[in-house]
Amino acid sequence: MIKNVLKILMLATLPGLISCTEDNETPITEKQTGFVLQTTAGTGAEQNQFVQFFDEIPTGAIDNTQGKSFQQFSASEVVDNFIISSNISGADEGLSQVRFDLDGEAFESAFLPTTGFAGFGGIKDAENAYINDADRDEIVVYNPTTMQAKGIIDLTGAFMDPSWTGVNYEAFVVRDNDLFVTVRPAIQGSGSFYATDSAIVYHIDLTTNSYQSVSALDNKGLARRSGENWVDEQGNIYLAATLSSPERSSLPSILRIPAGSTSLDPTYDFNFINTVSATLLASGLPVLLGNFEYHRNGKAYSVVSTTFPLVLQEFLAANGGLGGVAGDPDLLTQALALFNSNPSGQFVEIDLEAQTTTIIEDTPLVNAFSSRVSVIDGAVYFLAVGGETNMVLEYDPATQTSSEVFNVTAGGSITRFAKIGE
Amino acid sequence: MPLYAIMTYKKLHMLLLALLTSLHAYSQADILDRKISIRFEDQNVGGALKQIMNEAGCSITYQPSALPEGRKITKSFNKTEIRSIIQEVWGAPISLRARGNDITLRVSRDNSTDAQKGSLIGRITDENGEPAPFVAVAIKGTTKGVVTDAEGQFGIKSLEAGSHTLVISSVGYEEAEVQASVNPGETTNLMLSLSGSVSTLAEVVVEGKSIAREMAEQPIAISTVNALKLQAQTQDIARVLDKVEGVRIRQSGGLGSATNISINGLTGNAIRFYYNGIPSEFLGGGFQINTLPISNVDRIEVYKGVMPASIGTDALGGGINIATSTDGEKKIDLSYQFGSFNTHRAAASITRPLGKRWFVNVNANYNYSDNNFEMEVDNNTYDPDLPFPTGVETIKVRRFHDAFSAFLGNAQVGYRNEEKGFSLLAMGYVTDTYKEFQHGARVNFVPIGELSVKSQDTYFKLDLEQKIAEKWQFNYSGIAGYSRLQVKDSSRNIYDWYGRNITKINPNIDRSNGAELLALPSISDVYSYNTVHRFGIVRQLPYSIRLSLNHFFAYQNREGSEELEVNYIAGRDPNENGFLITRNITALELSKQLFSDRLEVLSTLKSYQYLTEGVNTLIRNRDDQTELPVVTNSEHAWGFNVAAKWKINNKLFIRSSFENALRIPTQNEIFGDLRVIRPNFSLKPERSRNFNAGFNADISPFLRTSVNYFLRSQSDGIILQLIDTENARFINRRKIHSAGAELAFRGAITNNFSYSWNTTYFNLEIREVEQPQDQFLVGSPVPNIPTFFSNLTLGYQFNDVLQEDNNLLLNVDAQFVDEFSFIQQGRFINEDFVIPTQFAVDAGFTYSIQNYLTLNFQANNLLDAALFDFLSVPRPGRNFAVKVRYTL
Repeated sequence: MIKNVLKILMLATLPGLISCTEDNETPITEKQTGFVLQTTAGTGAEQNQFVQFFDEIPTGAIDNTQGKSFQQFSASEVVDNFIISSNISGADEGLSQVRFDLDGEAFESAFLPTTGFAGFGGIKDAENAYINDADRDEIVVYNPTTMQAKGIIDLTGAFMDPSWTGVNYEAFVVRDNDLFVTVRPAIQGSGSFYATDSAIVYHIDLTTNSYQSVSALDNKGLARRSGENWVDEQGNIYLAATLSSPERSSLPSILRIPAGSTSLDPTYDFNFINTVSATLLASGLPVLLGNFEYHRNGKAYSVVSTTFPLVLQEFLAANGGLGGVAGDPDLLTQALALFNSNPSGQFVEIDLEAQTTTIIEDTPLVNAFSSRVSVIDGAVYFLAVGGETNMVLEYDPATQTSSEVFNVTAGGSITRFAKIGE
Repeated sequence: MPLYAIMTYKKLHMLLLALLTSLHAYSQADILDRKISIRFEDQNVGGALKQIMNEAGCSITYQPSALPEGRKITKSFNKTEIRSIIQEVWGAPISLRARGNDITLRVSRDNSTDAQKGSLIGRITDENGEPAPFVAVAIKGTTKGVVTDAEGQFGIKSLEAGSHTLVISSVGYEEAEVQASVNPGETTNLMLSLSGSVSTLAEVVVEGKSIAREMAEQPIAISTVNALKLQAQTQDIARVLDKVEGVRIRQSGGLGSATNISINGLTGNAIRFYYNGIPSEFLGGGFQINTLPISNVDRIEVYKGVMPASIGTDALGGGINIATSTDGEKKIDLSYQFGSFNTHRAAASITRPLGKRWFVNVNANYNYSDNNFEMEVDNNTYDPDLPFPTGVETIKVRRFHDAFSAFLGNAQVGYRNEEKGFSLLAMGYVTDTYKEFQHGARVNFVPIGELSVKSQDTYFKLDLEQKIAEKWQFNYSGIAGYSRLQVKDSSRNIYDWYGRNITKINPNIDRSNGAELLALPSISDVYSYNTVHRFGIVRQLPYSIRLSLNHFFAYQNREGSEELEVNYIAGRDPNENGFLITRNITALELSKQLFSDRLEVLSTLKSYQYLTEGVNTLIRNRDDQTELPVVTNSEHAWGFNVAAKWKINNKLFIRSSFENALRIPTQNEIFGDLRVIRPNFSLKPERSRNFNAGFNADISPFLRTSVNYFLRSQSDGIILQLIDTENARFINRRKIHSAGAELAFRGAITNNFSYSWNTTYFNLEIREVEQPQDQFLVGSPVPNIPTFFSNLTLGYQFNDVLQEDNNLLLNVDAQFVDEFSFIQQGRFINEDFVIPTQFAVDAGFTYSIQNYLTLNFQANNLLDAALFDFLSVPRPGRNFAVKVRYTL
């Protein structure tokens, strides 16, 4: 055991020493700061991503094919002037550290090997990050700057209900020296990883890298990874417990782990879509949620389904309304397809203290599942995708108005807009 | 040695033993082995044979017309085997058969290994179109000749390639001469008519063609490969097809791996693969295009759009039909091939006539390969004391978990009564296949080390044909049986590319979900019960009109069990309920010849109907659901095609065809895979409109050329759509457009030197996209499809090498595939997703000894070039194979 610890320490410190000695001699060969736009084109096996670098926030009409194309690029984290993505060579395993050369071309600057697909994770700082690998009994700790594994957090003692046949880890949220991981269990005889109706969170102490406790709330759905900023100025953590599939019965809601606490707060029960999506909820159709992003002053932003797409309204009218469709699995499948592929969502401002939700009316109707919110340099950006819409809007909370920053004319749907560097 | 490998060797040895035993028994009690003493004094061959009969007390049956003319023999034989005596008397290779005291003597059959020889068959009719029996047909300048039978038919085999003069003579007609061309390894089919005056006979000769070439010259766009020429070689059907213009075959590993067929850009399920007219999806997993033996294949037909009603079902972009030989002639064909990567391929085919009309045929084939070819991979490195991989290295290693074995055995009984125009062929077959997997669709940093799939098929097949007075023809072809598929993917172990079980070395490194390839572990045992019935009626009407009605019915029901409850839905195994699909496809085809048969037109109307039934797994997460509801769906649609061919002269024709076709979704596309692919009960058939135009020119034996231009528009194309981050389903969205051309030249530069060259170029464009944001893709090329490729084949034969009638054939194959990308590229080219230009050269030789024994040596990828299969999976480097084939 001691030998293992020593080896881990050596692995962790060696690259750091090397980088210290070379810092002053290495010429700058990559972009230090700028903006990255990722778009996704095509469907299924033919899907690929275009990634383009900009020195300044782009404006006007953007052709993102002027960037570089990948079959699998998932900009899950931004650290300093680089991005952590799933393996950009297309293989299943590993994480790529991606930087941009002086021409703006993305390249893999370092690589972290894994034994399974490792697309999600959490970042504490430039030296400590966390991912789950093929072994669900542990979380791997790695240095995102050097892309070297540093150790593991042993979860063999973590809570496992006897009915669970396995677990997946969804969202990783870091608050100071606490790591919270939301859990998606597979339940015997229930099919895949969609069985639970409980929000389940593991708490891990990052000072000792050890599992501490589990907390759960029933009938709250799964808290999936859907944003970067979930911790407010006081240290309250807000988890968006979203629908995991259209067939689930639980409703999207926001859960809280209060500042100073490591457990879900059973008294905080904010079903924020109840008001803005009432029509959909009454219909029994699913409510889709994009990402959830905390901004400041107790305000967060999201994008949710709020209404029926026009084509779905026509479809329902032609097939006996909601009652007629709900009783026919085939019609229900078609209805869901129309719902999923046509704009039905709107951006919303969420007051986490007052527990109110306000639709931002001057934004276009979008596909809630594809659209998202980004917070860059304190400004709120809406990545609006759906129908003919494929643009980035900047939202001004003071005036409650939004304005177009740029729109993408080629390269597919906007999937990520981020800033690297300071 | 792993247990399975030992079993594999045992199977192989048992197979060989059985074959040798059969061969031994076959040749036992042979009068040909009897020794006699005899002396000939200036005796001609016929007289010598009679002398042998008297001396040995046996009968010898032979065709008098085949007797070597002018040959005289003077020699004494002392206690010599009758076999040797007859061979020496005849003075040329000859085939001898014995049954009791009866010896049958036949001129050596057209042996496929003698690639520079060919055959003539034909039919002679009188001025009224009736068969002309007893017409003598002789090859001028040779001793070869035959007499037509009651149907006016004749056949002459083992003719040197080139132009021959046929001397036709019959009572009441003056002798006449007709020119006919014989192509290497092909059977030329002649249609001759006695028009009252023999002087006109030569003018009504229909150009002689092999059956393969006759098919290639139909109004529809089709390429055919005469497989007889290739049977002695080591290449399999997939490799042969890969050299056909417009066709690309890509695999995902070695022998037995999944195969992707592309015909002029259409790929996947759009392309159907048929075996004697039955879609392979109903034949079970044992019928793979890259494992079927070529030894009993007669020809390979590649349809580039319109398929004939007698074969086509719901093929969208064309199809490939493998036609086997069922002539019922007495035959023994044994072959064994050994090659790199511990590859063994054994094939045996024995046919024996039973009386005049019946015959039995038994075939057995066995394939085994370790598929352990070397390739460059990115490999995770591990420290035995650390619970995570420590780095990545690029290494060259041999694949270690990709073994494949397949047994295919069938026995058939045939009956043929030509007088009554009736034939029957009943066949039973079994397959047993085992396949290991080294990786999924792509090569990853962590290989698969334990996943395996087993399949077994048991089917019965029946073919019937009845002709009535040359006007009516009825045919039926049907199969019934089941396929069993066992998948085991439940390992928690992690392997590296050296083949080491890392989990065994370091228990801290494992897979918690217990599956190497699937999202969830699975131990499943699924049966697919299939039956297919095809009925056809052909009516020959006045005015050269031919009417054909075909009906195809297929039933497929999939059900089974899953051992691991993690895959259950609402507490129940969804496999229990079954998923069935039935198809009814009816085709009415009309063809007519006009303008003295110069113009041939063909038109087909098709009706497609299908019914699907299966449980709705969409309710998977409804905890209150206690029963899985069954969903049924039925669709009907129409399709049609037209084709025309204009024969400008005997050497040149042009043709064109148009088709509006559709493809019925597969079980998997409709019902999903019960894992990540969700069902879509409203999935529609995908459609394609194909246009082909081209010409064929038979300029001379040295130059035959064909050009084909094609235009396609595919709509409602079925593609996989991601629903969310983990689920997908098939939808109708794809719309693509392709246009391109194929050019082929082939011929014989000399009697010994043949060549074939073809090239294909096309543009495959996306025409419609799912999302408005993808509009920029409209007009872009469809990724991952090679669009420019070329093949060159050269063959040179040396005759009488070392001994008379021993021939040596040298062959060289070269293939060029232009660079292509498997993603849409941006301004910065991402080389990780570019398949570079590939140039492959294969070479080999075939040495044939007296037309019964052949030895083939083949070197593949001679230049050791970097070659790639589907999604950049590496293909083997330089590798070798040796094949020995024995035919009687």
